[in-house]
Parts: sequence; structure tokens; C-alpha cells
Amino acid sequence: MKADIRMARERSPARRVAGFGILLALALVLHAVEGLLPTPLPFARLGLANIVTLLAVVAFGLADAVLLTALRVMLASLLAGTFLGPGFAMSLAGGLTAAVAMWAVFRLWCPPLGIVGVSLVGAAAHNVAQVVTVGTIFTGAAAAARLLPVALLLAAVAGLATGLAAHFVLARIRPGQELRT
Amino acid sequence: MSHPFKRADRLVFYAIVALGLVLLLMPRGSGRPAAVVVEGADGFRVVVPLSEERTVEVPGPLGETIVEVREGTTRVVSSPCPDKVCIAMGTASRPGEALVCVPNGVVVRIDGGRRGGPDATTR
Repeated sequence: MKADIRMARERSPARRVAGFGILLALALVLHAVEGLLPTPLPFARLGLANIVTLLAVVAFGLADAVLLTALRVMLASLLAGTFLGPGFAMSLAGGLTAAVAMWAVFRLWCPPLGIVGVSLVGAAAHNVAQVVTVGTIFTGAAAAARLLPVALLLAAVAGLATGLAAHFVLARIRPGQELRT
Repeated sequence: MSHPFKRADRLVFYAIVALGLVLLLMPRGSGRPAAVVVEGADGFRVVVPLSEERTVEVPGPLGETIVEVREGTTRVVSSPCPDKVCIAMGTASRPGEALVCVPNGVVVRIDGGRRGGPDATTR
């Protein structure tokens, strides 16, 4: 399993640049489409764009994944008109924390852990970071702490969904394989 | 790579869910400091934090009921009612406890703070 996952790392510089652009566009599309889906709670999103973050962590590494996440959050908020707003702060905090956490877990524990496990950790880190952001900027720590249970439970579901998606994507990608449509 | 759920993945999933459930079921304080709410006739209302020391004179149809907040408890010091039940009720200090003078229309209750904990125990 470890050998398989490591083989997904992209080494060609040209492919990385092209792949980066494609993944960024894909993340934005996923974010937009997800926004159209109805949810019982407004903030209870699956975070499908994080699939791309996870793919970037596996295929490109930490720096590219962090950059990708930052750009994705910025572009999405610019397009939605929420740049530098509260939602933007939470998305940025969550996304960046998730990217770093997923990279760390991926590098340290991926052989026993699979992509789904990495994604779950990323989702949990994402939501906890958002709760911390809310507690720091908006309400106090005590009020924000009441969000933790819901945040963690939603993270479990979201991490599972995005992890499965990323898993099946990675299962079909091999280095050197041409992308055919 | 067609088996997405490794054993470690399951563990992580259950750990997150368990953590969420544990935090959900933990008792919590309401975050507001405990305070004494003194209400009288005609919309009279005074809120005194339990940490303060204050004497409140509550006007009512029979006269003035005097309520004292001191050392984290509150009690009725004097009241123009015939039976003085409110004085006999003693002190109130925990959220939910109350002292009432019905003839003079005075209600003294403790609000906010941490709920939970038994009201009394026997052995």
C-alpha cells in the first residue's frame, strides 16, 4: 500500500504546473457545486474541495498543497464576494490547518492508515480550527466550545465521504499515465 | 487498493465520533455568572450578582420588603406581610432557588450559573 501511494507523487515539473492549475480549477468547481446542494444546516458542508487538497498532499507535497488551499479559498471568496469576511476567515483557517494536518499524518502514519484515515484527520482538524477561529474572533472560548461536539461529528461524516472519493481517485492514477477524457 | 477501509481508518473514525459524543454529553455551565433577580410589583426588577453585597428595598402594595445579598447568598430581611413566610424561607444561593413574598408581590430568585448537581442527598 505504501509503495502504491508513494507512486502517485508527481515528479515532472511540467506536470506539476499543469496539474496544479487543473486541481485548483477542480477545487473551485467542487466548491461551487457543493454550494448549490441543499443542507439542513447552513454550515454543515461536506467540503468536497478538500478532496483536491488531499490529492495535492499526496501527489505534490506540503508546499503545493498549502498554496493550492490558500488560492482556492481566496478565489472562491473573491468570486462569492465574501473576501476577508467571517466565512473567509473560517474557510482559510480550516483549510490550511487541514492541509498541514493531512500532510503530517500522511507522512507519518500512512502505511497503517489509509487515505480515508488521513482525510478523517483532515476533516477533524478543519472543523476544530474553525471552532477555534470562531472562539477567537467572534464569541468567547466557552461559547465556541459548545460547537465542538457537532463539529467533530460532522467532521467524521465529511472526512469519510471526501476520503472515499480521494481514495478511488488515487486508485486510478499512476505516474506517467496520460489523462484521457 | 480497492479496500478503502483499513483497520486504522476505522479506529480514527470511531475515535472522532466517540470524542464528539463525549463532548456532547458532558455537563456544562451556562457561562453566565450566578445572579440574584429581585422582582416586585409594577415591573420592579433589580439584578444583583451573587459576588456583590447589596441591600435592595422592594416596593410593594403592603410596603417595603428588604432583600439582602451578602456573602454569596440572599435572604429577606424584613417584609410588611402578616405571616413573614418569605423571611422564614431562609437563604437562597444556588441557581433555581427562590424566596417569595406573595402578599407583597416580591420574588427573589437565583439565575444563571452552573446548573446540575443534586438538590439534596440522603443516606
